[in-house]
Amino acid sequence: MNVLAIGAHPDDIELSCGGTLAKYSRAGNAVSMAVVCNGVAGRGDRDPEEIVRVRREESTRAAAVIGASVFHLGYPDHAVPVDEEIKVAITEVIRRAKPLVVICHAPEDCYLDHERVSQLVEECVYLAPYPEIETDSPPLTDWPVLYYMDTVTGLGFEPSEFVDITDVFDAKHQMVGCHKSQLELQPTDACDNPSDMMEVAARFRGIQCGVRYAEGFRAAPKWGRVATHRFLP
Amino acid sequence: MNVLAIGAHPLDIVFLCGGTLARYGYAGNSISLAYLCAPISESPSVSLEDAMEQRERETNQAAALIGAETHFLRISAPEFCVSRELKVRVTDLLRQVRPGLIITHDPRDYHPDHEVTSRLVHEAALLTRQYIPEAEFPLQQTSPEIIYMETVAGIGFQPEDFVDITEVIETKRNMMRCYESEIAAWENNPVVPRIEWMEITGRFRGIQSGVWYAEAFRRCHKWGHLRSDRILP
Repeated sequence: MNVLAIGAHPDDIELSCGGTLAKYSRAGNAVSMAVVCNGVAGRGDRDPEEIVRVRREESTRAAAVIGASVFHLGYPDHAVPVDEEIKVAITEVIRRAKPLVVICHAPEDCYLDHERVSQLVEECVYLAPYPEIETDSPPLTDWPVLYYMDTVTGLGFEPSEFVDITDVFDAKHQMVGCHKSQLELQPTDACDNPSDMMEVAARFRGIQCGVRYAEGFRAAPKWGRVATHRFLP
Repeated sequence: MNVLAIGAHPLDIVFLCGGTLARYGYAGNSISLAYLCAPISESPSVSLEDAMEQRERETNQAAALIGAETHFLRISAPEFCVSRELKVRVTDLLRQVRPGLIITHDPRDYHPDHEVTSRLVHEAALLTRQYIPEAEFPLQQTSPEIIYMETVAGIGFQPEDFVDITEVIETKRNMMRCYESEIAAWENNPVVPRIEWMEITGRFRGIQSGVWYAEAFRRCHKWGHLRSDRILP
């Protein structure tokens, strides 16, 4: 089957569901990653044009680790609009990827871009089968299933489904490691870098469900997209 | 201020709020640890008396590290429920210790003993102000504050307050090490050894709150238990 993850910034998908995507990919599914923002705010100390290019390359390399295809929508950080143009752009990505499963930010996540993307993806997943919204690709024949991935640091997020990523943790680690521009940031009082933060979160979610490393999800409770079998790997 | 931590079983209090108790202790508050349940002998070769003696000795050692006193109610598993007799016993414990703050289990924690403990504490906090003929200690004019420590593995728990325990993490480790046999039994656990579990939880809560290690708490959302200032260190 086809799986599509949509995140706000170039490393969000890797941090919150990279292991699950690696697992999907290893099981022979076609994985796509869509990144809505260009990541320009990720390094305020560097030339904006250069950092946008660097982050796009990092994101492309991370997707290549698991053989995923990648879409870059290129909106500037902190400026995700909620308008017709972006709805057409996201709906077109969903139609091109033809996913059975879509993974995106939880609506309660802590960055404005994450909240906006969550809201937009929910709307566009709904719109994808309807011809009333016109994009280059034809409408889907049915709604995909929508999952919310963990929030940044897990604040406010209560997972209801877990994926054991112990066997693919190296791949997740490698994906996060592709984002060198973010790993080079100064350590904070709370963690050394995003990779350190990711490992703590994966262990915490692992302990919650009885494995070494895990990722947590919640299915969007939308009629027509809820089923009696498990879609997560 | 007198701070009283009430748990069902010995290791729980140290594991879930030992760092915060250490900080209260170092700041000059009087700390008491109270345990409601009698230990269960985990092996036929160890008598209940021996198990009890060992647990209480270990707990006294852990308490001594932060200058805390200990109370053991030794209630056996079959009689542990929200009964009149136990409500009176816990009320007498509160009247004896006279805490300004009680830290106890979240009512939604996983273990029935934790739920019963939480309920008993909530009822006893109100009963401290009521005349009870069979109570040993006299009634009081005010009820203690209640704060809930994190659930085991953080399941179903969204923190409302965090305490920075970075500087007391080694004390917390040492308190846990006092429970020698229990810690040893976890040493080869395939998911996580017990002290490492505590460290991962501390890091997870630390990353959420911007410090290296933290403990997480939730307030008792009942009328009479909410306040306009911060009581945690």
